[in-house]
Amino acid sequence: MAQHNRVSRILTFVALLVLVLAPLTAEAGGIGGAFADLCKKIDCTCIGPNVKQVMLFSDFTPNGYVAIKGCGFGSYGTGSKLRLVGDAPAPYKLDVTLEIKEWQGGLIGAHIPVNVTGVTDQPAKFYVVTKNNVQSNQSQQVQFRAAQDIKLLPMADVKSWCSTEADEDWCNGTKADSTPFCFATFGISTDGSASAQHYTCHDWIGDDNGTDEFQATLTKGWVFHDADWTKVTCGSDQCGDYTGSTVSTPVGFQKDTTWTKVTVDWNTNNYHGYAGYNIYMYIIGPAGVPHK
Amino acid sequence: MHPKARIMSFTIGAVLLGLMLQTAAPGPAVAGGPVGPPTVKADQMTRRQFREQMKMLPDTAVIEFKGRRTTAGEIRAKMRLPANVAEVRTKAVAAQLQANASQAQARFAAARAKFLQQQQAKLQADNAKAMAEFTRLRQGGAARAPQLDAIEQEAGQLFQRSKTASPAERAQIEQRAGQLLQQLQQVGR
Repeated sequence: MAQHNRVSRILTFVALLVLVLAPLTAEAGGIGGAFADLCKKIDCTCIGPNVKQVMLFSDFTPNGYVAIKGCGFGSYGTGSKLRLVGDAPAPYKLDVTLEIKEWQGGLIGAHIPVNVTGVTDQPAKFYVVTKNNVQSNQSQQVQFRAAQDIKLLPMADVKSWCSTEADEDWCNGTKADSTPFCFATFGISTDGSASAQHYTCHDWIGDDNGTDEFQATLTKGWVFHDADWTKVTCGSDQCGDYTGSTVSTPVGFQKDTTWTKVTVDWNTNNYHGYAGYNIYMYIIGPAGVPHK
Repeated sequence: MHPKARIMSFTIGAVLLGLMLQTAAPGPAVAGGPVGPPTVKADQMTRRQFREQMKMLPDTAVIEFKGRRTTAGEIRAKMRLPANVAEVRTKAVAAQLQANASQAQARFAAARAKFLQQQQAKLQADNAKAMAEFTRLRQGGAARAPQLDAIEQEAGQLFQRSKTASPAERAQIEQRAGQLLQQLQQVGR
């Protein structure tokens, strides 16, 4: 009888243990054995395509390579895609499908096409699309850097304030002032981003010198990068630095800014003195995006 | 018009014309006599004032400046360079402008090429790093056989089902898990 009671108590304990543990195991998957072993070896919680990590070892820029880690990408097939979508407003928003170089389960290697232009620098996120057209979660945010181009700022985009102290004064190809009977002998140059020509017909009275000013503003990611300039100075019968006319080095240009003001001092205080110059402002910014 | 009014307007017009000639230069600078041409004392003028005077003065107007005397006509004549000098000057300026433009263009082309080259060099270096990292990841097991991804996907589905599965379904899940385990072993896991 005592023996029977002991067995009965043990059975009751086991039954209670099963009753207590059953819900716990059900919560953890509900099944033991093979399923538990399976989940020890692989991630059973991966549902659908799931981007877990973007490898940050290079610039996210056209012609650059990227790697994406995750799970549930499936095998590569028609329709498998890796998209990079930016958050800039249209029409400069990035939305590009990358060229897949490797697609191996949880790891994708891809190339950002070299011909991605017309978009600005912007934060962006990756999406994986499986061959069954299921789109993943969005990746962590990365900073997309547009391909950079460098170009000459057109004269039409530069505003000028032309000093009119000579007998004939031109800035950016526009006559600012002239004196009757002054028959200026020079060509008007509109080369570069800014230009000016000042001509003195007679040097009888007063000084012919002044300061021209040029201003320009850039937008959409463009900044001033560098500047160059040239000059021509002449006296009555010959040209060169020794003729008395002068043009000072332009001042005020600042690189890596979106606004610049350049001023130039000149002097034509001699008989038929001439001072002309051209300024070349180079700007850098996202290729294919207008600078204003 | 009434004859008296006509006479009056003529008189006013004559007076105004006279005043205009007299005020062609600031009061004290012009000392025109009743018979001779006006005289302009340029010492007392700014260049801009003198330029304005030159628009109005007759060629015979006398201009005095720092003890020198000349006429407006002579100054106007000097304002035009002799034709041969002007031609040489114009050509010299044009040639210099052209040369300057060409040189600036060449400098820009070189700077642009250098910039693009630097951009490409940086990109290539970054890409080399990216490829090395990618290879490392692949070797480290981040990349797997395509079957593994399919197994993982199905395991995820089984996991979801198991949360609400009946005992009978659990048995099916367990059975399928066993098969997936075997497939896992086949792909080396």
